[in-house]
Amino acid sequence: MKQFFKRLSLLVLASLLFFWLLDLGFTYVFKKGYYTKIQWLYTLENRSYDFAIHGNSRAFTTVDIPVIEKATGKNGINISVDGSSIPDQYLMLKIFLKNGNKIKKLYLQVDPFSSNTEEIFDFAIPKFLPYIKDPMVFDHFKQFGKEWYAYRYVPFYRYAKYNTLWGIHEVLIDNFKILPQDFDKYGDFFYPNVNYKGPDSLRHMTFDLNGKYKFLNQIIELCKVNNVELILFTAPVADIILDKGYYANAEDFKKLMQQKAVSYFNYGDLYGHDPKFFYNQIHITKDGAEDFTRKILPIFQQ
Amino acid sequence: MLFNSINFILFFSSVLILYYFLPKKYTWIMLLIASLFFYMCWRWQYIFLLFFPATIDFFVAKNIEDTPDAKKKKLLLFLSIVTNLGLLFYFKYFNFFIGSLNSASALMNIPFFLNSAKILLPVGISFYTFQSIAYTIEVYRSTIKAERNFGRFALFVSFFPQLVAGPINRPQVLMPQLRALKPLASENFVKGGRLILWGLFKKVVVADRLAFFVNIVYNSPDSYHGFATILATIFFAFQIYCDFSGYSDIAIGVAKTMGVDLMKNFNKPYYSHSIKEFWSKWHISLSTWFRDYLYIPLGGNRASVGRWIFNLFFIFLVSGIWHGASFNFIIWGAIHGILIVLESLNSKYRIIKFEFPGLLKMIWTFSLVCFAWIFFRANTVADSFAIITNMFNFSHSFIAEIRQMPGADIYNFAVGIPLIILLVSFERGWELSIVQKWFAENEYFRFCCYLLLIVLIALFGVLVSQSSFIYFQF
Repeated sequence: MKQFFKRLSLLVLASLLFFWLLDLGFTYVFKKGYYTKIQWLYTLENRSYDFAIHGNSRAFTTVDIPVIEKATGKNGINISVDGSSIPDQYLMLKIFLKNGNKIKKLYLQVDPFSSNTEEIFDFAIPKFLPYIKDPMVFDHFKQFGKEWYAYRYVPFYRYAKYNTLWGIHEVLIDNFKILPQDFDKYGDFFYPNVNYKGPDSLRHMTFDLNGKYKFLNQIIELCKVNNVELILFTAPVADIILDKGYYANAEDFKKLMQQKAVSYFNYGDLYGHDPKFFYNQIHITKDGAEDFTRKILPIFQQ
Repeated sequence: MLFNSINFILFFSSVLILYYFLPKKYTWIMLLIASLFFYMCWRWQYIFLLFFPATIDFFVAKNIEDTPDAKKKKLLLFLSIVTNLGLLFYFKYFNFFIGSLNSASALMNIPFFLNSAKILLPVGISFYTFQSIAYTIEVYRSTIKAERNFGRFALFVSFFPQLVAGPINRPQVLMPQLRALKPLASENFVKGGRLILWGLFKKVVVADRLAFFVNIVYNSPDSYHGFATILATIFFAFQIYCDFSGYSDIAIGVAKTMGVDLMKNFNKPYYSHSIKEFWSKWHISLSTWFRDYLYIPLGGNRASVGRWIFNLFFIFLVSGIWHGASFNFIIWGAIHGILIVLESLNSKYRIIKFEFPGLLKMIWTFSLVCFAWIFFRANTVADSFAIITNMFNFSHSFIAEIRQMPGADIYNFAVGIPLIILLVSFERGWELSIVQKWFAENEYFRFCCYLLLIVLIALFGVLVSQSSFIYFQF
């Protein structure tokens, strides 16, 4: 038995050493990659912008920054991360500002899909894993469960756990730059113009007015501390139920934000149920983004 | 508590520590408590379902042994079988039966409707009831002595490595081992550990990875055609093999570390040259159970040709029903029944007079097995036929259908084929005498093999959410 345990210990040690080396290799490759928005944002340092767009995919694909720059002469950036939830957005903004970047105005896309839920999503987590040893990232995520300690301290565990989403294929993509960056130099991404037929059914889009909005409040606080004017907006949706309840709820949310001295603009119902500019229920197309941007230009001209 | 979970690692480590330190006479009690705890982790109420037939079978077996009256023996055996099958019928088939009855009456415009019951299928019920039936039958046949200690009998029924998905062990093999538990030995640790590692590789690396593509295609059968459906079906063949044989390997390995030898359940079934051979290598503990306790008592092949054909077909139909309360499983069983009957008639009357090359026979058998798997995996009978129809429709671009999947799913699909090749290479490679010689004699080679498996599990294992084993549902 003694001999057995000796050999078993050796095997465990060898495995740990192997995983430590793999961890180093994966982290090195991921950090030098530029494929995801988070990798890209980490490369931005000491830059100044008049405005930034932030949020999830509904902000990532909705605002055409060159149109704003041309009309207003202001320079901007889209720091939105597709698939992100509001906790991720808070973290990204914090990192962006910590890296010496300056912004005057932040346009944050909020809607009940992203703001009512203050959870983190499995499909978005892997993008942060290479940066887990950054104290800001670890301190943020450790509040979401003890497993984050294992991701931080057990070599390679984080990559093993999420290898279906963030596995060898991502190492190859990053190392050999196999795929092009799927966003432009402004951080914008646009869906192709497709003939979307419209939703089969409509859904309620209601802000939780009694919600804690822990991370939204933290974003508000972060903006105050960094002298950033925060403006909230809701991007168009194709499948909302437009009734008294919808309008009243949006109005109440606006009042709630006014109490915190934050402006809120609701464009959720901008196109009604007209699917012309939509890629799917909640994302607009390239033409849609251009049209939407022109329609909301006044809030950028203020 | 799944074998591929941290909870099981903690549970099993605790069992081993207790096993090591407890005096030998108490180890079986500890194993019984651990097994009951293991089962109660799913739902504590299940324990009553486990104890109910176990209690009846314990007393029935004792009485069978004690009574000299042949008629009474038969009656007692009947009571045991009815109890076990009755329980199985209620929990597994009652709602299916009610649903079928309602559909049939609706079809015939008969104003008849029965409400279905709110039943949750207890994990492993098909396995432990069959093991328990085997015990009373063997006592009835006087091949084993009835167990006089209820606790030891309860351990035989509930022994945790094989409780929820088999292998269905024979009392004459398992009970003596549980009566005389061996102390922990390093060679058993090594053999058991090796099986656990190999089983984990098959489950989390191959089966769970292939499941991504299989689920995508089988959950929207109208969206995929031609090669995509063919590949999804081949993937499923390997998924279910790796899932179930992986589970069996872990179960056998876990028992082996405690010095208990469980029945081998798989023996490279996809290399079979006939359906008959396939069934001698697939889920061996179930197919031999049916052979010993149903086929032979029905007369087996020592009967008229008509009766023999009926026996063969009936066994496979029952096997299909055993797998689940759905027409898909019945059709799956019937397909195998028909194939076995045709094969048996051919071998008896030599209808096809020439021999095909071995490789062709293997491919042909694998194709037939895959065809039957369509019904096993598809969500409904209609879906099965949609898959079959689309399988022969090559008018859609395979590449376009694959490219419409999200990036991570394309990766999971692309990695599927190399993983199958890796699995086959490992299994075939292991048969080479030179590999076995190196493995036996060269410690570094063994060490590298273990390390390779561990690294492959970390690199390719699906760990993001522990998926259940397919056979848990049966």
